[in-house]
Amino acid sequence: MNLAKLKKEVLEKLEKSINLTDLEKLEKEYLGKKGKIRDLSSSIKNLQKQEKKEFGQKLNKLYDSLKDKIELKKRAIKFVQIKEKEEKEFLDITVPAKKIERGHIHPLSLAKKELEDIFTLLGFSIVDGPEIEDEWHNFDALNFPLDHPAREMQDTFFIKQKNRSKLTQKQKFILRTHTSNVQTRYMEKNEPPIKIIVPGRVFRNEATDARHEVCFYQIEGLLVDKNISVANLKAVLERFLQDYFKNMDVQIRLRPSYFPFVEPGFEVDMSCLVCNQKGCSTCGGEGWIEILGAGMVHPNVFKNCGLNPKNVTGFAFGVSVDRLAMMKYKIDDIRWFHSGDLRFLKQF
Amino acid sequence: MIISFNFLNSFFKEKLPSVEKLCSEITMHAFEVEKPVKVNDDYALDIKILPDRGSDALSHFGIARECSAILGLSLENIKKDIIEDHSLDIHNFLSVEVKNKDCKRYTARVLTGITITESPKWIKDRLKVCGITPLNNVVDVTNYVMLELGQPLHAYDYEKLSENKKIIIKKAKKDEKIKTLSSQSLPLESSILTIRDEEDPLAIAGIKGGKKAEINANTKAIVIESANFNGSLISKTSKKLKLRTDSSFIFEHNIDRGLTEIALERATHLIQKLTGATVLKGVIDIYNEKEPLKTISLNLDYLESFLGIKIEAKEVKKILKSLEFKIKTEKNKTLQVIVPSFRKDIEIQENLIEEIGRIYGYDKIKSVLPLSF
Repeated sequence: MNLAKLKKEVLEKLEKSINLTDLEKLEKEYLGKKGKIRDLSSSIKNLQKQEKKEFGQKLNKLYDSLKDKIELKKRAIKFVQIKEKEEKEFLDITVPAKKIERGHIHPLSLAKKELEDIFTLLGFSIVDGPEIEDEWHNFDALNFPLDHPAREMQDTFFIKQKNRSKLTQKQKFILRTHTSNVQTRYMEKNEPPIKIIVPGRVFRNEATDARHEVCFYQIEGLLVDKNISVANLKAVLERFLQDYFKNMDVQIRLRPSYFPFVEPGFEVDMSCLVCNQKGCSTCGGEGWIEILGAGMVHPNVFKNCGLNPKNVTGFAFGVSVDRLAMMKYKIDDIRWFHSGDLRFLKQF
Repeated sequence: MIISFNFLNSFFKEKLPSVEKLCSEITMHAFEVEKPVKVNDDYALDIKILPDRGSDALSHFGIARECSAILGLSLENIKKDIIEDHSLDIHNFLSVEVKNKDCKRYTARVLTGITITESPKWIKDRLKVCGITPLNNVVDVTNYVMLELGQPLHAYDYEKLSENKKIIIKKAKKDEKIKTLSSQSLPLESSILTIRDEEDPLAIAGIKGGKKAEINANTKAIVIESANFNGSLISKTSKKLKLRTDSSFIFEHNIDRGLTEIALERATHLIQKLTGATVLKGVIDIYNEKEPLKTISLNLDYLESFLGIKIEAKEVKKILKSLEFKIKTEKNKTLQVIVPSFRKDIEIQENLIEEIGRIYGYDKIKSVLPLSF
């Protein structure tokens, strides 16, 4: 085999090789142990002495030069590859870090927190109580007579108990229907002056719709002292609504109502902030929106908690946190709160 | 409760204000009223009577009484005049025995010479506005008077009572059944109070009448029952039987025992006027447990400090009188107030303060922050 021809052949192939695999293949084919150059070197023994030497030297030279050329090309390809890789994986350490998405406060938590702040500033303490309550603290102590239609004003979830009918009122359990249960629990153990709010979950066994949920949040307020009046109740409620809605023009009005644990009882309406009392669809053209229930603590409740109604008067109110949040953020359906829908939640 | 605007108007000589104005006055001073719904030439007002006022306000007259106090309009007397046939003494034709304490009062009259027809249009119209289907003149009058005065009534066909014409009020027998007016067969038990003759149950007391003594086109003589039952018994029975009627709903609230007589006279008057019936002389009235009138003291200084507004004594007395309370004495700024029998909800001084506050107007109370703020 002609060495020049062989060289040309290798060089042509080298030219066509574009990656390391091609080159390795080429190297193996010509320079490897069973490669073509080794084949040629085994034919040396057939030559004469002088020719042997010359041919051997040429062969070695060719081997070395081809080896160099292949190595060179290998390096060139590797270099390009690294270059490409570097470009692809370029790390600009001056770029600001990618933002980690943070959780956000649920609108009900937000409303609850704001309300707690408002009442804390007004000097109220925040008090907690049980969600599973006995019938005595949820109803009897709050002046709900047994077998009276008043008991049916709040649809109740009863806890299944063996021989329930034989248990005393303090042994029968229900899910509390209002946070008013804490009124009685707190007054049993504390002397006036009392100034508390009770935020918490309450449960009603009723069909849900845009305005009703089986579980919602309520804040109960209770103020007991000497000579507390309806005028005081009006002022405190007005003040907290003005603070919560950040609007000093908020007005309230009291309408007669009935809750067994207060006397008199009031339905409290708030001036409509959507239309400034001009009449709109939110307030049904009335200019007023029903916002909470309140009243003067019934003397029987004081008695049931061991306080003498001759010495003290007080007022109580209960407001749905869900309802306040709906008003403030103009939410049209109470069921959004527990829907778990991120499109809704991400707005807060 | 659904109140007919025309019906309400009939209690007043002067005209009531426009329906919108009236609704807003009632809402601000007594009960929440939904938007009025026009029904032909009348309006149906849905008035939310809360449980405390179920004993006196579940009727057109009850609402009229409130309107009279709120608007300062005087009420017309309700016509109750009756012509009795003195040759026929009721005691020769009917006897009643009350054998259970949960029947607080039982009054009854007997009428004969009845012709069953349709009721006149004005009665039918008013029943329909209030959601009751007219049947015949006798049944319609019992329903009409219930809507008017808040006393449920029941009429029995006299001739269908068993031989001795004796009505007994006592608990049902074990395993007994009654076929109700709506042809439903209901199993009774020994905790359920019944109205019966000597053979069968005629009605489930205060809840529903039975088929046996039903009024029909051939009825000639009737017994009208106007009774009073213990509210908590009616409530329990109604829940047990899963049977709620207009009558049971009213009785659950423990209504005034004084009302039975008035409603009986009113219904008798109307049936006599409509049918020309002969009314037997006398009333059967079994009234064992009379309730004394309550007297509550009201201190005017306490009233002022409780509401946080000064209301003149003259004004206080005027409001109380407009709601039919009586002032027994007045000494050292303390009034002794007699509560009318129909106001079962009034038991303590704070109840009186509520009455005065709401009629005077809660809007007149100015906000004052407590001293501790």
